[in-house]
Amino acid sequence: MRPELNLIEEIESYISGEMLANDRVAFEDRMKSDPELQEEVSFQQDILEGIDDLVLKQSVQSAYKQYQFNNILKWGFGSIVAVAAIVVTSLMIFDSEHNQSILLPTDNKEEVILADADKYIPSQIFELTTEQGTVIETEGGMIIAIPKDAFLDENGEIYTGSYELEVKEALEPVDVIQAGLSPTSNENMSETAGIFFMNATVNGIGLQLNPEAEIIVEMPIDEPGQGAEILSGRQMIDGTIVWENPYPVSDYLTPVDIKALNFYPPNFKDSLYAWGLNADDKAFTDSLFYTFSYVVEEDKGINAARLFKQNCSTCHTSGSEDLIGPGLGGIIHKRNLNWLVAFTKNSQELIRTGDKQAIEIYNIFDKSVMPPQDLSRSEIVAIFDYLDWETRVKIDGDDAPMNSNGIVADEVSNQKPLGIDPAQIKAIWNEKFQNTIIATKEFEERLQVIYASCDEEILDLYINNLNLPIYLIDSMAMRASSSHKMEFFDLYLRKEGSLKVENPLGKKLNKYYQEKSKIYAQAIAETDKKFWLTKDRLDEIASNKTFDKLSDDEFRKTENYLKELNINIESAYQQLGKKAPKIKSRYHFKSKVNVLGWSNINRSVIKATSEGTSFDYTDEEGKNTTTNYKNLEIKINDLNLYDRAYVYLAARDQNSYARMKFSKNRFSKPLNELLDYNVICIGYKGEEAFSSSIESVEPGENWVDLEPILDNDLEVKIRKLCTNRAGRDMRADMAFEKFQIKEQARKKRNEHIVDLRGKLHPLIFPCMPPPEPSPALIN
Amino acid sequence: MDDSKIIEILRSRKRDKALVRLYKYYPNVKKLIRSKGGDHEDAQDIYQEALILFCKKVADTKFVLSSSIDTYLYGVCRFLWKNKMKKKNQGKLVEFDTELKSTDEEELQRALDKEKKMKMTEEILDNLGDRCWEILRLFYHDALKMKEIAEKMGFKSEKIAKNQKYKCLERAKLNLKEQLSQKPIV
Repeated sequence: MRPELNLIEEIESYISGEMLANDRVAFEDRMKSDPELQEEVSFQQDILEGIDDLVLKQSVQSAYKQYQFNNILKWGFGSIVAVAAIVVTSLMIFDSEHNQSILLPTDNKEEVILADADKYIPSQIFELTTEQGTVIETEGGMIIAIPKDAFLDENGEIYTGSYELEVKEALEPVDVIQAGLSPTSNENMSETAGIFFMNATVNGIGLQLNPEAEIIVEMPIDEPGQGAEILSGRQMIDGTIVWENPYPVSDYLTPVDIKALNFYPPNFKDSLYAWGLNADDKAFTDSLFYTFSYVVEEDKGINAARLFKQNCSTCHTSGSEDLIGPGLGGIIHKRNLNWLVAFTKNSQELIRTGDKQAIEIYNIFDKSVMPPQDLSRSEIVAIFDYLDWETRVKIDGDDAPMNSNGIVADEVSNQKPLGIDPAQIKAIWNEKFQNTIIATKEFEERLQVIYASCDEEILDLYINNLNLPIYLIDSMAMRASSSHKMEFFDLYLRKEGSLKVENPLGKKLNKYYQEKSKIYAQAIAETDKKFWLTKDRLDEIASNKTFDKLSDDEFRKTENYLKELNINIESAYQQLGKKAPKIKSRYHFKSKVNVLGWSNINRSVIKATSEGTSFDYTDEEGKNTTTNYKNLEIKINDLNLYDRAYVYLAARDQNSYARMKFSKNRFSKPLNELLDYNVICIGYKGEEAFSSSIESVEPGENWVDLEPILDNDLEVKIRKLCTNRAGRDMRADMAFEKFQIKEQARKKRNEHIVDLRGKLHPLIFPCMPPPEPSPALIN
Repeated sequence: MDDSKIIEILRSRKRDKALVRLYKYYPNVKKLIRSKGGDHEDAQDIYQEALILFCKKVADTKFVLSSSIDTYLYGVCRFLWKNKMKKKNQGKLVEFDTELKSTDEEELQRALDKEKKMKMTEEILDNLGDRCWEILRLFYHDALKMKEIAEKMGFKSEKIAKNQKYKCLERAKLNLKEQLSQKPIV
């Protein structure tokens, strides 16, 4: 130890009284003759006293926090929300040598709930390196951008190497409350949009934030609102936090809820309204819009041009000339897309089904067989889209060397369309851009002009310069745009500013967003693929289901038939005083009907059973047997009020049921007088179910009133009135009905979407020639 | 929790618990300060100061409470506020009865003067950096053994921790010296 430190140690042992008596006397003598030593001792005493004082002060402050927090709990969170000012609260601690594992001088855990509140929030650790700036996203959706050389080591030198970034976040009110964090610094309750903590360490030793560097944090906020500010928190030794140094989040431009802005192309929503579609359903409009993404095709890894060359070019041209087959340029506008896909997949199949168009083409091209193509739907669609694009580029190229944007057609990539890629819009139209100029009415306005200009590079200008005042970007756009200079100039003249968010990391963030855009594009591609896959699968299921259902029905009908037949036969035998043969299965049944003698009765019974009519039989000995059928009629009051209605008949002790025939406004079925029947009537208004039931129904006319019933209760009812098997079958039947209705709606929707795509194309890509109207539209 | 119990806890290591309890008298003080022209920040400062003075007094085992804590704290706050107003009004007399005995007032005045002196030391300690502050607090206030501190704070050995502690103390002393030489206490 240095001599200075040795002296401190000596003084300490003197002050604490640990010094031995002899040394003590000697030390006091030294003090008397050495005023400097005396001063040293006095300073040291002051410091020790100061330590106790400061601890006390901090305890008192911490107690105040606890008191405030208790008050918040007492008054409830509602009162916090009621405060108009939203405080975006951030806790940033970059104090040197900050150590997290501060424990309170207490052995009672319960009493430090607030004091070390942030302990209750789990840490997220990011392993980072100082070599380059980096952008991370936390579990809670916070985006943290850290520049190069952001930290200083213990000696105040720029730290280089890897480090751990610890982040704790309480972004939801529930988290804040549960962690016991207090969002308030004084008694004015404020609403916090989230509290977070950050600390950088190397091997457990804290780094300091380089004062010249700035870390950008973007927090997910529900309502940015005005007057939002960021407070930095100083964590006191006892773990409580003092909020200070507020500064506003935004200044000149006011960000609004980005989701509430309209980033669609001009007239997109209006047209949807005009076509009677629900343009207010953002999920719907989004899905419609984003499917136009062209990045999709690239990222899907579908190289339409290559696919065309490999699979089609032997027989088809991409223009209008015919080879072995017709030229395919612009074919997408001449024929229905679904038809095209079906024909491409298997043309012969289509011809066999008697499809007129398919047969016509087959005949025109000398009955040459187009082999089935092993391509997915998305691949086929990509090829046709590509052919469409090819044609347009050629038309442009022939008629005018320059397109409206002044770009020589040849330079246009042969796949990328002219215009703003919807995937790009998806990448910026989300909360991540909430605190940027993108989330402003001003940008919304500019986007309309950008769409009209069809220039993605101008959109990039805005996205890449989030930190600049918007009018400066307008001026850049003005210079960059060939077709819309005046429009951007007008915007520039307004001299609209920026958000007062300093953004030295803008570029880093942009890169992050670009990657995000790619991810979105992939996601869209995936969803798209899934959609068509699902569609194919659903089509398949639908046909299978229909088939299954039909065979099930057949089986059940046969089974019912058999059961009833058995009963009837038994009854007949009984009346004749004879034991009936058991008929158990279909197969069995078949073999039995050929038995002579008693088979007469069988036949007769069979006849009666199948026809539902009464029969009368007298055997050779003159004994007589009868089976009576009487008709049951069910009439539902106000039947026309229901979208659909069914009446099920379940024979007691029989394992099955029957749906009654409906004609002339009534449900009817002959009842076997030997059986006991329950009736369940079900009606639907939309998804809403209504029901009524009759136990041990009597033949003749029965009127029923349906009453509302919950699906669950309906199931219970069915279980009660039918045997398991019957109930299950009945429910399956109902489910199938539902499925069919949904299925019809789905098919309709799909056709609709395909149709809609054609109509929307010119709105989204205004600089591309309008697609030729399909024959259907002309008619 | 009655007054004698609170004092007992204040003297124990669970002081923080008692401090939170003592805030139940705060609303009255807030009302008082507001009625005398202060805002809630003033009230908060005054009450904190009163609590600190009270705690220090209680720490003296000879201290006997002559009234209820409530009354005592209220009186201290009146005194502190009067003091502050005097300063604000540049020494002009403020008609404001503290309802305290004059001996109590004198004693409070002495404690207050001492607090002022301590303030600089506190600031120095507060600005020492978290790690230094922690090691000093753990050793001198919490009376932890050097070995425990080394473990807790991740020092490789007790010796390094001890050395670090003296370094921190040295830095604090140097800062204090420097401060005093720059602006001697008036």
